Amino acid sequence: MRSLILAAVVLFSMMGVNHASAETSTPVDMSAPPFWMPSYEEFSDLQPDQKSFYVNTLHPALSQIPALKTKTLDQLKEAGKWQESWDYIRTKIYQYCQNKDVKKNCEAIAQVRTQALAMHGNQKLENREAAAKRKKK
Amino acid sequence: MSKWTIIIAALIYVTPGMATGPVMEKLKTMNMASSTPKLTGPGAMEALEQFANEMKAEKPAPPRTEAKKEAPKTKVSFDNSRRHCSPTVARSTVYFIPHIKDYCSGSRICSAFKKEVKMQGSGIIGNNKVLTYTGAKKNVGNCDTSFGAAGKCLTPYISVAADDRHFNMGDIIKMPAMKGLEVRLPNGKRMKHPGYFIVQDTGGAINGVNRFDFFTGTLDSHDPRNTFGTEVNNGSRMSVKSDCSDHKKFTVIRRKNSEAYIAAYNELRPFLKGEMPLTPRVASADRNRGRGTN
Repeated sequence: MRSLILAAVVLFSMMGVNHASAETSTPVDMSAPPFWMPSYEEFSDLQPDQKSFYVNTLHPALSQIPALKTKTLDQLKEAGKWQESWDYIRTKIYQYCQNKDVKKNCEAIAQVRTQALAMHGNQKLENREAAAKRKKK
Repeated sequence: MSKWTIIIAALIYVTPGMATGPVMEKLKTMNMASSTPKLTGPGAMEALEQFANEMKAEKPAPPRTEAKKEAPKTKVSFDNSRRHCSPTVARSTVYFIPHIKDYCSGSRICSAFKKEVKMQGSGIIGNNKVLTYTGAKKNVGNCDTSFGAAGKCLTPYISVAADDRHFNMGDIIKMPAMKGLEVRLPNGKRMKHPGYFIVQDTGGAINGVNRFDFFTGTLDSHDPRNTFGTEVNNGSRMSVKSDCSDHKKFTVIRRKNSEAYIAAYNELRPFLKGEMPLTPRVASADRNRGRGTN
């Protein structure tokens, strides 16, 4: 009888922990800024050279993320053609970036997206000058 | 009471017309010159004494300060736009891609066109090619003009460049004042604007949540045919960044599987070259889209 009560207590306490953790991990709205990684749709629309740049530059940064450090470059390339895999990686990156201590890493990851977009972004003189100024800083 | 106060007061008493210029201006700012009798009546002594003390204490303000104070009175402010434009009002400019036929007599690249290409970043040279400011030629596939950062063909009066730190490529900007506006396209045709724009480009100088650069095809901002250009003086002008008029009020519809996005996108789709309609099923479960391509 005593062991039954003990088991019940343990079970109830575990349920409580699960409930609490579900409450604290609120889903991240990935359609609003900050944009750490492009959505599958945004990535799919890119030109081949942008895609290639993005995947090749992002891959080394994934090694810093525990849940993604085993991802190979080929797996990342494959994810670019398969929405479920892409969404998995994206979700892991967004979850990792919830931690403010890794802000620098996340900004570097976001920067890869910005650089990929800039490859075919408007290059009028004003934009070029502004981009050069930012680089100098 | 100081010597100066007595001298100024005496002058006003003798010749009231002299209470003009800096003296009058100062009194106005002190709300003491609202009526003439005060200047010549007993209240004038107090006002002048305060004026004299303040003149001693502070240096005369430069004229620019006055101009800044005047600015908020006008509906369209051209000073300190960052402070005056609300985040829901677009700080906008327009950009274009020059076409060789508007600059050179033949198909040979002339210096006027090269000069414009250096300014605008690229220019259309025909055969689905653009010349970039570096001198390289870029193939733009089936696009009428070119493609933007999003990798999609740019559409005049529909495509917009925005800050990629604040926007996803494909986000839709809803600008209700534009709905139904008759827009003149670069090819001379006219279209009724759907009231939506789509983020398809970026630019180094395009920074902030309400900073947009509207694409106007091959029409530059000073071209009178440009519906968003500097030459129009109605509610469609987009070329003045510091103009915070009401017609530039906008809301953002984020690119996601929502009814609002799908509805807005489908209104835009007829204007976008080669785009398929979006349905909730496709948007939510199009997991294999793009598989095997590129």
